[in-house]
Amino acid sequence: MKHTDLTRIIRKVEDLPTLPRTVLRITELVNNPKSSARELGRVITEDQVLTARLLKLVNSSFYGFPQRISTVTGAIVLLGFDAIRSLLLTTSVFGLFSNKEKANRYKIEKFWDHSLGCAVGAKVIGDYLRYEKIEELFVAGLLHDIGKIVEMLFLPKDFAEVVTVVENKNILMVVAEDDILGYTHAEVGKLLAERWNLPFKLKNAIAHHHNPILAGRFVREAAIVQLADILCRAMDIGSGGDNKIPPLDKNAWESLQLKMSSIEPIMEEMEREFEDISTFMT
Amino acid sequence: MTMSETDKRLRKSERRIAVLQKGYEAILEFIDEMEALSQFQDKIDMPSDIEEIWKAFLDHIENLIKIEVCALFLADQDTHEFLLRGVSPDDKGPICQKELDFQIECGMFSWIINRRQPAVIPSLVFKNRKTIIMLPLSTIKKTLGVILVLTTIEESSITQENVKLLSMLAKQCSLVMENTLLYKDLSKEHESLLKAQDQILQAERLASIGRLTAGASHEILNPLNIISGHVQLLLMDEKLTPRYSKYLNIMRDQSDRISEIVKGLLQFSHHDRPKMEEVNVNDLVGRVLSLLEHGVGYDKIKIIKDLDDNIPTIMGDEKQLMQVLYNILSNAGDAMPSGGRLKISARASVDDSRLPAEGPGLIEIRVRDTGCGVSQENINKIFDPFFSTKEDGKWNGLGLSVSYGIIEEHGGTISVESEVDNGTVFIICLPAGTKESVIVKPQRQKGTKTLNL
Repeated sequence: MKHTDLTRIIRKVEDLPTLPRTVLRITELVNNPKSSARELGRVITEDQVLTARLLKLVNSSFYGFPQRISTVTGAIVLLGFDAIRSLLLTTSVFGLFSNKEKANRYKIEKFWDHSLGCAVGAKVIGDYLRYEKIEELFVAGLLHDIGKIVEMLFLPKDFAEVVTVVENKNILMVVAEDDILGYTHAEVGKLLAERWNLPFKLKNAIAHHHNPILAGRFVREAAIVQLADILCRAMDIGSGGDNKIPPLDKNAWESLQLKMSSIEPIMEEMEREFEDISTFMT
Repeated sequence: MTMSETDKRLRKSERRIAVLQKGYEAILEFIDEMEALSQFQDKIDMPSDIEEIWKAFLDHIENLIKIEVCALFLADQDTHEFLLRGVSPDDKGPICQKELDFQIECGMFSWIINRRQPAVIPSLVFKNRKTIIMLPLSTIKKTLGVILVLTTIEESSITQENVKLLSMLAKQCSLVMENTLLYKDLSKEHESLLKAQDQILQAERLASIGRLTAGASHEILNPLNIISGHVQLLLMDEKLTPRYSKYLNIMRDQSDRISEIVKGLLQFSHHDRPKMEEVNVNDLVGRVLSLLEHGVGYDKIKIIKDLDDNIPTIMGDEKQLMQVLYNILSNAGDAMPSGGRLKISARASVDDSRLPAEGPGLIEIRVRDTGCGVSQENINKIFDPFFSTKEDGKWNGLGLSVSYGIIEEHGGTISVESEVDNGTVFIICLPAGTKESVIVKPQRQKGTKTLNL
């Protein structure tokens, strides 16, 4: 049963909107260590919308950079290639959240808030843990529930069924999905990540954000996303479509080596940065 | 499918294969670089000082990128100042320092340090629009410093590979440097523990001597009093012949001398409780110096006073503390029969780790002479009663042991460091009165920049 369902998704996923061509070309460039800042910059500047968004983001309070960064090349060498790829992904997933169906508008907006909250949360937790590439954590948080969007937009019947059960039984969406559909949004997200050629780290964080211990060498990243997810729900930032707080995996928590006393300052910082970034991103 | 469409697809595939081929080759090359990096790690795993790691780093970075100037700044963990620790070429130190200062000023530096990622930025000091790569040296726990690389490569030609390899190199360096610094800290701690252990042993030895002498002193004083009493009685006899009177006087004087020695012993074994009152250390030093300055031999000695005018008062027995200073200062004078320099300094410190009990801080008095010094074998015995290196017999060898007893009774410590022919320094630490009384001077120097880590 599970098998047929997954193939059904894959078939459906074929129809999914792809990432902008520029982002795919950039992924290609970033995968080649010989690419220079100029080459990468040229590809980005060809897309004016993307360029504008990128410069807006690097100059936002999110980065707190002391001076204005006015050129794309400047941004690339200053922030590094990986960070730029993460930033481009961040700006590109906007489109996916912009709604086409009126019916789901409210839900999608809530989803967007939840995703953005998790992104901010993952970044703030990363800051606390002195994690090196917080842009990647930000994208991971932003995309962790992307499977839900796919379900909502491309498997609307399945999704409606799941939502009804979630509302009636007050259970986690991931539990309802597994019961009814035989697959979860985490698995759908993983499929999408594969199709998008996202880095392994990102794919694993999306696939295992409900069970970080399975994320192999990316346990830390998946655990950070899980914790961010939980904190967002505790702080009532957006909605993940269900009204239950997923259990925190004990091993995952221990792997973070985060002090309990850090949680409160993290939440305060999340609140502050979420305010900042949501005025900026919408 | 038409021919042209097939053609188009074929050409597209060919282009793609070419791109992939190029990427594949680049990755192979990258793996080569990584192997070189791991060899570098083996090389820097061995040495145990920063200079050698820096040298290995310079050797290796030459293979990665064309560099013009390369400078290492390490953060002082107390003041958070970034200090230049190495530069190549040698004469570029000042200009690198200036660049760093400018980058700190404009806020760029702290941004990079907080981000802990390499960043490529335009230079503010070097001419011809040179590019700088900043490589923060940091580990999970702390920021150690930064390496500043000035390269001839133009900003936009810098490749991902450049940055990645430099970042890995910096990471390796950080780990080894952290280990080195930790090791240094540890061995310093170890050394000070050994020293402390030595002092404890000495203190214990002196304490047991003290207990012994305290008991013995009483046993001696009793019969001595009886003897001198009877001598007094005999001296009162009017029928005494002058000859006997002279003998008896000698006996009385010598009895007095014995009693002086025994009194000194008693003081060493702390039987005279100090009468505590507020004392200004600077005043004490001044008064003792004025006593000594007119003494024999002191005219050839240059006295340097380095006394903190704002030094807080301490609680102590003025007479006893003066005696300690007198003993030490006159010893110093004796050690420099043909003249020399005598430096007396007094300052307050909040670090009271050198005191036996925790408190609000301490006052440290240092007396340094440029005299003959004390040999290593004698230095451990210097506070022992009756120990003296002076030959003329007019010293009973109790001065320093009495001083030791007095300082101990005040809850302080007294220690000595000496080098033969170079001089001796005595360090007295006394507990400060209250926390408020300890004045800590701001450590920041003018004109240098610090950064909050």
